[in-house]
Amino acid sequence: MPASREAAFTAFYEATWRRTVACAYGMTGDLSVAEDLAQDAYCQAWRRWRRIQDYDDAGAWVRLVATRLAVSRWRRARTSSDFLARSRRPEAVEPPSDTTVLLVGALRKLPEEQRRAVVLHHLGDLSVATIAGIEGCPEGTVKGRLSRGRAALAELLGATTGSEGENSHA
Amino acid sequence: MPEQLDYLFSTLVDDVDARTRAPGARHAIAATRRRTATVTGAVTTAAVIAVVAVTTLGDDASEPSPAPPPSETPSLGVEVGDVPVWYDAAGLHRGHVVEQTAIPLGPSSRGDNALLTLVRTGALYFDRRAGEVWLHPWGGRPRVVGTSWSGPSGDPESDTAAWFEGDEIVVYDTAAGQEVVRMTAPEVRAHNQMEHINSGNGFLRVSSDEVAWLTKTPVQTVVRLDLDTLEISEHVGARPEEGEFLVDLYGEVEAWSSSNTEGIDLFDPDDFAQYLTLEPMARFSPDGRFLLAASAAPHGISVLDLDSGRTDRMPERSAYYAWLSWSYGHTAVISLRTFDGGSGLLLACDAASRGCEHLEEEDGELLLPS
Repeated sequence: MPASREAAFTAFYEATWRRTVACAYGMTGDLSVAEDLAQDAYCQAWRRWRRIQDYDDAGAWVRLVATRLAVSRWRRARTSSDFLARSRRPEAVEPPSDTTVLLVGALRKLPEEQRRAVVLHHLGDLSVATIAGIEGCPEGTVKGRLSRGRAALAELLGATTGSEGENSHA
Repeated sequence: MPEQLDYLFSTLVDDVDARTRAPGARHAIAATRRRTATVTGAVTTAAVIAVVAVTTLGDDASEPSPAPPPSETPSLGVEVGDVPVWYDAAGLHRGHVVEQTAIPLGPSSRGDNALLTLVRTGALYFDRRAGEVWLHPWGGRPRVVGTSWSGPSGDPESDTAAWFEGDEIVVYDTAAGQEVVRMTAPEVRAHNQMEHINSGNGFLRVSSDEVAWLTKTPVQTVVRLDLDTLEISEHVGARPEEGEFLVDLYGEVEAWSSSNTEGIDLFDPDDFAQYLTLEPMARFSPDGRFLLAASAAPHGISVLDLDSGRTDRMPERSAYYAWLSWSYGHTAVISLRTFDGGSGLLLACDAASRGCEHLEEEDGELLLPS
């Protein structure tokens, strides 16, 4: 394997890891599971690296895969069992901030489609058009899910919402 | 986006950044290599087990097998080697062994709804009236593993099976005894019988890597579910012209009927070939190496070796109409019937050697794997 290929993948991995975990975390609410899902997504990325390295935004592909893996019941179960099966001693990490606990708790209460739209748009940094292409639905449907998801989040978090364009992340 | 919400999401990303530590790209690369090595090792092990199993089965002429003992834990089934599998009035045959099914499967009780499909260590069948999918582990106790309207399809080379429940595709691991994927997807055709293929639904390929199927739409739209990424893709195939239809596919190789020649056209991303002597009803072997088809002029059975491109006729049976199916490995099970639907022969044929042997068939109720 050419070293440059592996080096390019490593650079890509390091540049995109944080946001990929954040997306998976937003979907699952469990950081350990999110890390496992992200790692699974990067395994898929490496297998297809020749193809996806030329994508305009290969990071978006990995974030999308991580959120798909999070949705699958099997992946959830398997990842959990894999995690539990490991005998490693859990490393001490800082507890999540109160803000994160509140936000993740609120995200978990959203219907799955709304949660995916919100996570992919606001954490995955994907445009409405890109999400519509991924989900195979009109952009209006994605906008509707985003709008309802944000309204629900605002209510759950006691925040206020306003109206704005949907393409700020485009 | 309200500023407050933007702020909350950026806080979450910062929080994750502070608390997560990336295992490193090398771990992802190494994990991929480990997976490849594991698969290769499993194939080698399976081949060894298959050889042992065939040897053992060769000595086992008893029938039917004794009922399995009651068990609290679901039985997993055993690998049975490249044996022919079929159902008839005596029960479910795997080589010389006959097992009793939980429900009758034959045409008199199921009509056109009969459905039998294989996985590595067992068979699946369908009770359409109750909407129940049955898993029959070889040597074990049959049990219901799901509900469905489409009926199941399995992979003789792995532990993967798939079916539709409502608007969701369910992918099931028969060894683990659990669903592996459940997600909304374009629905499969519940029936997809054609000449020379006596039962089946619209599933074209089930494997541990992907599931592919035909949708209900008039156009021959193929849907693929990538089981690694859970990505669903649709395309209309290599030859969507009117009057032509997709016969079968394996990976990126598609077999299409040819309306001009009444033969089969094979496509892959880099190549195209016409096989004029093959009738456009055919099935790829479980490993994709062979294409089994009826052949014209004179009527018979042919097998195309995709490795060599060579087409050979099976031993001549031109007086019969052939029903074609694949069992395990390169073993095809072929039912030959006289054209008035009367008496016939049941053959197990090895696609590699082109040799066939007669199978003892109990009269009536014949059902071949789809």
